Amino acid sequence: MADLKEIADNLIKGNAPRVKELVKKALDERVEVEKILNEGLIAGMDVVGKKFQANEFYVPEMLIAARAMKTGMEIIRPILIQEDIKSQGIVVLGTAKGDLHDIGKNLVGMMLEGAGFEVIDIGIDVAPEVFVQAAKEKKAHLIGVSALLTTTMVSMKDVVKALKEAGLDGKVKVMIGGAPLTQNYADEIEADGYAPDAASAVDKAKELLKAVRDEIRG
Amino acid sequence: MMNPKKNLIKAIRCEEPEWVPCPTVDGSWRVVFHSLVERTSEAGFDDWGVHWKLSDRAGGTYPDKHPIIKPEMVKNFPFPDVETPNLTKPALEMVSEIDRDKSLLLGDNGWGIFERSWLLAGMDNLLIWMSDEPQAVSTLMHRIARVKLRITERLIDEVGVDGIRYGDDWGGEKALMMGPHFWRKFIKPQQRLLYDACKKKGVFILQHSDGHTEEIIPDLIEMGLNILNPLQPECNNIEKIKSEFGKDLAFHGAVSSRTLDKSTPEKITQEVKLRISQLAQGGGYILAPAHSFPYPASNLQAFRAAAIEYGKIPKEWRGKFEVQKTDVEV
Ligand code: B12
Repeated sequence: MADLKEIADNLIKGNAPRVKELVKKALDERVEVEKILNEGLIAGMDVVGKKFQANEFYVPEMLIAARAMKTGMEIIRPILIQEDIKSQGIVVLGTAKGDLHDIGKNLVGMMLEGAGFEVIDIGIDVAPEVFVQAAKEKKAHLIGVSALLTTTMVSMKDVVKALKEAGLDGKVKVMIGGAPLTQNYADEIEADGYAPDAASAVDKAKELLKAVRDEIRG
Repeated sequence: MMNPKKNLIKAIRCEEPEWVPCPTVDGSWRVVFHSLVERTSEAGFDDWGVHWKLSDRAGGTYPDKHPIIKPEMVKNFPFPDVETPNLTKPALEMVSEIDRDKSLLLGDNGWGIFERSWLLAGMDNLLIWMSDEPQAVSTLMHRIARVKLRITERLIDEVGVDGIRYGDDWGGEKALMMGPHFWRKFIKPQQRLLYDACKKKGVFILQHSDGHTEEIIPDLIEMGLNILNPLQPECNNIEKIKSEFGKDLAFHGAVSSRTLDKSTPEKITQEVKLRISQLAQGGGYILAPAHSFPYPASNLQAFRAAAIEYGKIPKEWRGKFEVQKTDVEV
């Protein structure tokens, strides 16, 4: 019998080949794909995020776990599409204008994907209008902006503004993060949410998108 | 008679100095550089084969092509010629303008072992290889360390520096990026070679690493480190560190660069006062911002005034020394 916990455990260890094998085996044994996703892959990534938060895991462990997640997803994605199983929501993610730091942003992207979101990474040094344009094009529910510099975090305000000007405020949420940021700053610039690390970014995204998600899922 | 250099040496030795040394005000140390191109100022390749792209918006160049794309390339990838006669030329030229009786001379070693490794292999590759290809990571870091070692030796032998500045950003906001386990496994043994070379020649060692570095301080002390920079106050428990390690290690920096960039002159004065009260007792503190960054002029003025007032810098040593930004400092 396919053991979903074994999938999660191997994902936590970053053992991509084993995750691949086990996901295939579970599919062969006709385990529901949504169950494999939720109780195997997503459950594993959830533990990875918690371990990272607790300083038991560091960036290297996150990277190999995310790689194992990706390997598993590659196998089940076609079936998810076929069965019309929707993601948790679409997130456009990038680093603020003038800012090149992307290690943290990448981890946030991995954790969001690992929690079942569809993540569109638009890279570093992204101008506010480009965030909004991408959100429009991709029909995103959430924009995630990362900044590591006190000089670049100010451009997050312009993302919120540009979204308003495009008439998308309320429809597309804005979540911000990065070392110098705080909840206070998020409140000040009227961003919808802030999270201090990649694991809490998942919780925050879920919270912000709850209403939207209920709609997507019908 | 006490002068800035002697006063600084007291502080480095964790003995009570007459005032809190602050190199940008009292000129107590000056930094000199070697000739290898570690980062280009325009688009192009550095001396190690890493490509840098220019972005005006981001205020300079950033690495966009990492040449070592496979672990098999690590062993024979060509490294810069560290025996070039020019290596110490820029340092020697600078020294002629420095009053060595009054200023300690630090030689900057360039990008650190971890930084140069990720510049060559890419951050994701390097961190993933730590699990998948540990031998390749060790080989890469050891090869880099050998170049760094020669830079250190030549700065000491040919320029006669009093100390070496090693920079390497290991810390993120809350933790070491690679984790203490991988730091100890891969970086520590190579870093030790670099420290040993300094100890053998009797020169001071300064280590720069941004972010959270708290849990490896005992390792660094055991390896013989003298000065740790910048002790970012947002990322480290300063009081705890001072009380546990203040007798064995001096600290340079600790004034929040976020406050310096985004705050008022009053808050900056308070910040300087706070760091002096936390760190300067009994020596062991060299006052500086936790990062060189283009700060608003009024804020820098406040920093200077507070350094003079609360650091008690005597009138005769209140000079103005530019922050000697290395092109690699991050
Ligand atoms: C690595 C690093 C670099 C690397 C970046 C490599 C890369 N590919 O990203 C390089 C060398 C390129 C670099 C360059 C510079 N850097 Co730098 N850098 C760092 C360093 C050491 C670590 C950052 C990091 O990657 N941490 C690890 C990751 C995992 O953590 P994280 O980014 O914080 O992300 C976590 C959370 O913040 C959160 N999060 C992040 N993004 C998001 C987004 C959302 C939506 C959410 C919800 C959450 C979230 O989740 C993440 C995971 O848990 C920091 C030190 C520090 N204290 O952070 C300095 C630091 C950020 N750098 C600094 C500076 C000054 C610079 C330079 C200006 C230096 C220079 N003179 O060239 C340049 C700027 C270039 C530019 N325009 O961007 C300063 C900023 C000071 C200030 N006042 O703002 C810092 C704080 C160092 C210091 N001593 O003060 N840097």
